Amino acid sequence: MAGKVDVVRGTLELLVLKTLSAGTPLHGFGILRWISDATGEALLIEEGALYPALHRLEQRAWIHGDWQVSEKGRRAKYYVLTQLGRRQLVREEAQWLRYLTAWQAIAEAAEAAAAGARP
Amino acid sequence: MSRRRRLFHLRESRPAPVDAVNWEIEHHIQERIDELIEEGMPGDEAEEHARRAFGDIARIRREMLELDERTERRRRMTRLLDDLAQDLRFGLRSIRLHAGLAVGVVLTLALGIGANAAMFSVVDALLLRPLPYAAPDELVALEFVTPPNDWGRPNIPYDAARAWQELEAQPALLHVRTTALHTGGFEPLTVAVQAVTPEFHQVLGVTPVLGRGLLPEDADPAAPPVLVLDHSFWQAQLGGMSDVLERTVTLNGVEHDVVGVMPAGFRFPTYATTAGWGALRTDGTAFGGQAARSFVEAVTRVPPPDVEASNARLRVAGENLLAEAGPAGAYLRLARVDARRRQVTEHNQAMLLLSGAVLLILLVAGVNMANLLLARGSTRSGELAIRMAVGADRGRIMRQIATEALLLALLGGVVAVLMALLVVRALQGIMPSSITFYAPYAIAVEHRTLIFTFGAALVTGLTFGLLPALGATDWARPAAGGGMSRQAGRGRGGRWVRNGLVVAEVAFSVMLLVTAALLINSFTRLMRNDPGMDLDRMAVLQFAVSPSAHPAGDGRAAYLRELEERVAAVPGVAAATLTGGLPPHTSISFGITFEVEGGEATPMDPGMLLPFTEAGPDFFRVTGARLLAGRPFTSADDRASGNVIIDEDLARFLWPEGPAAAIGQRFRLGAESDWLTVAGVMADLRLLGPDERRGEFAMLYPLGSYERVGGQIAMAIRTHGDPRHVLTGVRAAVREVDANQPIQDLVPATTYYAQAVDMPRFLAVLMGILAALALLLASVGVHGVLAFGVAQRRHELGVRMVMGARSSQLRRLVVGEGLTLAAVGAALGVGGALLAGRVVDGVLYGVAPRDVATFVAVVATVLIVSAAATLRPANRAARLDPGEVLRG
Repeated sequence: MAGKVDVVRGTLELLVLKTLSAGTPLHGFGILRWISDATGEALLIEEGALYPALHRLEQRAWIHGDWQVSEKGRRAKYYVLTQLGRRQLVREEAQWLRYLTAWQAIAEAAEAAAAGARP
Repeated sequence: MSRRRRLFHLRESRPAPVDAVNWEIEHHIQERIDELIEEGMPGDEAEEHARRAFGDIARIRREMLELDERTERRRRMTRLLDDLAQDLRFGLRSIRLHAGLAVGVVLTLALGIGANAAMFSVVDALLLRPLPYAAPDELVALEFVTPPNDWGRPNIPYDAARAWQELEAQPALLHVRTTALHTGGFEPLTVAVQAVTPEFHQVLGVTPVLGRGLLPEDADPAAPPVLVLDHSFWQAQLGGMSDVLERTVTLNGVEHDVVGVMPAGFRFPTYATTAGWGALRTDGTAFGGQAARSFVEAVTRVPPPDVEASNARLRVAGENLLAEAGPAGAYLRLARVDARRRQVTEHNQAMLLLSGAVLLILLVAGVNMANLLLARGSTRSGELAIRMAVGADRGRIMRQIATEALLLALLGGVVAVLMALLVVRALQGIMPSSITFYAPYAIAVEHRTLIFTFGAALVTGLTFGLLPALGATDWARPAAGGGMSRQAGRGRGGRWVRNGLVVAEVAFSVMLLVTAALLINSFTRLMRNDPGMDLDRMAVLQFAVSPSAHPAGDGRAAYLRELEERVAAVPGVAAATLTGGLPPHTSISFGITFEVEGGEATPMDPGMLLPFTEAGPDFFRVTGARLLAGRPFTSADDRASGNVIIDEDLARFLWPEGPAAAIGQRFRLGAESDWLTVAGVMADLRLLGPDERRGEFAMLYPLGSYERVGGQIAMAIRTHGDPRHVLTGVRAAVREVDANQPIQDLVPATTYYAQAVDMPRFLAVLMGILAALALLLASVGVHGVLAFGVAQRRHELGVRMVMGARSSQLRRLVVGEGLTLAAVGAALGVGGALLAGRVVDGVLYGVAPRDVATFVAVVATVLIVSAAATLRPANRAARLDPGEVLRG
């Protein structure tokens, strides 16, 4: 599975929140499927880690799970984002963006320095 | 969860936590298998692959379950808080909506709880709070018991007490109370001081807040006299001066160095206030005089379980200790100080009675609250029924109603505290000094009262608030509801509860009214007793002569004679005469055996007292006491002459032939006493006050030439007009003779005499107020229930009218219903009052606790008041417009 990136633990929760922010209730497998579809299978999510993450988010009241029957006729727990979760997502996303911007600035500066050092 | 769903608790179908986790994992794996099969993997391989890809299922499941548990806890907490907030919001809104009702309930509760809070602060200060010493349950007092009766006196012969103190392994404290003339303060005062041995601080476990305590060297007869001050004496008489430790206090003309100040609120002995504590020296002196003359009191510490063993030892040793001091068979024993104050006394009985009374008031108030809430509960049962129908469970509605009741109760508690403050202040004004005298703490509303008040508010609020709630949910049960419009709230159960509450209310009021009527009756009978003196135009001056300023002897006699003459010369004063004490504060003898010369010895009932006082030649002229036979004292009569004047009761007891036969006869008060000669017989004189049951006899000794007069003296002052007008003049006259002469009491004789009945008057006044309050609450209850009943039965009454019932018939119907309730309540109340009679009996005078006339009068009053309370609802029923009622 070359080319795939392991998802860091902390970011998994952010990913889930972002996935659910579309508004469609999704079960655990659905979330996985959605992320891999959206990223062209670029991200590798450890399946076993997803469910504790979901329950942790539920415990913090950022998402809410309800039992429903899936289109395949199976009972499944569908998660939606709560108001609290939406606010949390906004906060974390902003932080991520700041981090990314900072990363970009550092990367550009490093590149420029490398270019200057070359004769 | 939506607001609506929370309100009614529609149940969600939620799987058990373990199932939920398993299902969720299984669902994932199934989906993955589907996916793999779709990609072309064989079924069993796909399953194996999917499970491996998921990882350590057991660990993940555990982790998920732990998280779920925390989620569930958080949810429950949120729901609880949400419900509470909602209940409070609902409660406040409904209180706002029914403001009139809320005010009624709060005031009713506040009355009941306030009365209890006030009473609690009295009983707490008097009886409940532990004594203000370290480990008060260990404190024991020495008692001196003289057979045949088992009654122990706290007064121990001084020598025996000293010997016991030596014998006792524990440090033991001897103390004796005395009065001293205090000069150099704002005004000359006779103050009470306590001479104590230096074990004082060690035995009681209380040390001064300022300066030092008493030391063993202070008890040396040669040591300079020192004083440890009482905190409030320091504040009130010395202005709380900060350099008090460098000051001296002059007692009996002797300067005492102030070495310390005890903490505020410290009292020893527990009864009464004390100006300060000085060392009882090894030679028995203190405060510049002989303090320990014959008797002292003694206290030590013994853990409660060891008291019996100590007493067994003391019984053996005590015989030697008392060898010389006591009569044959006398012995010493230790009695727990804490237990002694809870003995049945007149005061404790009065406290019990009043506590019972305020408890009844609280019950009446609670019943009224329940009634008011019930009346509303049924008007809103339509609302409750709807809520239950859409899924709110019974517990939830009960909680809602309980929250409202608690809100009302808390408001009631707040108002009750304010009321208790007012009542306690009022009580302090009318409370007999004999009650405050024995309280080891000042009577005030403090934190224990506050705890009690809110505890009582919560209990009352919940009890009487939930009573209607039970009813409400009963009627609101949808199955029983039937038609919700008119039927709701007319449940038969509710009416029974309401009627029962009114019956209870009336019954409690009857009990209180009977008790109050008996006490008032008893008090008026006391006051009707002829005191044997003409008190109307008379004043009493009570004072003590300082042994240092006026030592016994010719000087004191001259001083007293001058006082008498100067007071007699005050404008408005007709005459004045000194006595050894005026009723009700005269001396007493007890344990007497009467023996007529040449006759047999007759022992007086051991519980009976023989009151006596000393009188001069002008006694009868000034006081208005009536001489029936013989002569008054002359200036030649003195104590040694053996001449006495006795009252008619005693004369007839000794010589049944009559007063004239007694003159010139001799008798004595015991084999060792001197013979007394009857010089005169006077009409009955109530020396102890109007209640003669403790001692119906009276005796006068001659005051003689004044040199032998002891400490306490009362002057009877006959005035031309209102005695209040001469008081200033008398005070000035006394000060002119000796500016340092303290005056303890200078009041009209009626006021002075009334001190004897301050307890009966206090009880009569207080019970009267409480009973009136109960009657008022009960009549409000009767009115409320009938008015509500009429409103509820408009329909039925309207139908009756259409069917030809006349207004007067409807009126009679309502009045009859009210009177039936009142009559049932009255009957129950009479039963209760008969049961309560035993407590009341102890404080009654001249009235039986089952006095028929009183019961009849009370029942009649209650029925009349109840009838009056039915009038308004009855009129409303009679004036119903049937057309309007039936159309509406």
